Order: sequence, then C-alpha cells, then structure tokens
Amino acid sequence: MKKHLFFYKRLLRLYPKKFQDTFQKEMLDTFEDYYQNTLKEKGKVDVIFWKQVLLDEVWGAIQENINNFNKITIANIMKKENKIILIGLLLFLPIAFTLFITILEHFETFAFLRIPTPIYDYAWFRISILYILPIIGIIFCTLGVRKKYSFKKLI
Amino acid sequence: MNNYITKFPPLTPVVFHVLLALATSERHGYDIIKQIALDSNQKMIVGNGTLYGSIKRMLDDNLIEPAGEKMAENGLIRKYYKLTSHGKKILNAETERYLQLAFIIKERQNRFNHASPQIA
Repeated sequence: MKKHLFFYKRLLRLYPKKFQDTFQKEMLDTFEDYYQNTLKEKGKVDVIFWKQVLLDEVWGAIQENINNFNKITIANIMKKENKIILIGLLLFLPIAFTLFITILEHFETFAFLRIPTPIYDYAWFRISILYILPIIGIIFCTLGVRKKYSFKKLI
Repeated sequence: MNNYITKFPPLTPVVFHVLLALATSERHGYDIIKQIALDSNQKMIVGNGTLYGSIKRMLDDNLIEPAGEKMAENGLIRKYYKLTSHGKKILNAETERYLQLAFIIKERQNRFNHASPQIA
C-alpha cells in the first residue's frame, strides 16, 4: 500500500467502528483521487495539504464519535467492549466521591456526608480508594478503548 | 412545496451543496467535492471527513441513495450517489426558501440604500 494511503487509513481508525465499516473504502478512494489530483495540479503534495486533511479528519472523527455517543442505548452498553469501559469508569467513582466529600467537608451543612473516621482511618480503605481502584479502572478503560477502536492496529 | 418548506428545517450549507451537486447527475465522492468547489466559486472546499459525515446523515434521512459502482473519468471504479425523490423535494423546497430570502434581502437592501438619513 502507498505511504499516503497507509497513513490515511490509520487516520480513519479514529472514526467509530460502524462508520469505518461503511465508508472506509470509499473514503480511501476519494482521498486517493484528491491526492493524485493535487499532485497533478501542483506537482507536489505540501504541508498545507496534510494540515487540511488532518484537521478535517480529526474534526470529522470528533463529530462522528459525539453522534455515536448520543446513540448509546442499554443494548449498546451491554456490548463487551462498552461494558469493560463502563466498569473501568465505575471504578473511578469512589475516588470521585471521596474528592467530592473532601470539598463538602468544608461546609458544616454537609457534615452528615462525612465518611466515618474509623473507616477512613483504615489504611486499606484509603489505599484501595486512592490507588488500587483507579489503577484497575485505568486498565479496564484502556482494554475497552483498545478493543473498541482497534488501537493496537493504529499504533 | 410550501408544506416541505415549513416541515423541514433549513439544511446545513454542506448538505445543501451536496444535494445541489447531485441535482443534475449521479456523482462519486471526489466528483461531489469538485462540484461543490465549482458551485461556490472555490469558496467552499469540503474535506473528506465533512463530506462523508454529511453523506451518512443524508443516507439516514433518505435524501440520497447509492447509485452503484461505476467507472469514473480516471478509469477507476467508484461508488456513485444520486438524489432520492424525497431529496429532490427537499432540494426544491430549500431552493425556494433561498430565493424567497434573496428577494427579501434585495428588497431590504434597496430600502436601506434609498432611505433618508434618520435625525437623532
């Protein structure tokens, strides 16, 4: 495969999987036409060409991913890769909750939300909330995103 | 026709230009990009990502449909698109809306240019 097509194919991996399956071949063909036409007209393909391509593809991929995100349904969430990401994100909840409580502790009104001191004093509690759960969360998120967006093929 | 104008919100510029490009003939991706550039006097250069994002939504909305794979002018096989009957109605309605707007703009411009200066 030609270098420019190889690079462009990698860019297309930023799009949602379904979009890639439907339009990848066509987009590669259109890009090849655009590339060859620019080469014919200008005699070279410069940095401005690649800048435009890069900006357009990144912006397009962001829009498509947002559209895709809006279509998330329970059935979609239950797909294996989405489930892994969801579990990963849920593991961050305790640390988010702890931070939230820490902020609220400055206000007496929310004192009832405080984590009881005996529990908070346990080292295992703090370690699991601050280190273990987020680390497992990061691993789950990474695995899920890799599976969902085929990152192993991108890098 | 008026029913279509009121029923559907104004189209985005890219969608309108894609419909306009497909109004006269079936076209493939790069052909659409070239036609849009030509129609807009090179003011509107649509990238691949923007084009296929719009094509996806237009297919979902039944404004366009695939017209099969054919040989393009460069001798390579490309996938072509064409307007659906619904797409034609939408394009006509949108064109009508633009013409009405252009008439209002022109009229207002005339009035603005010939209006006597206001005294504060």
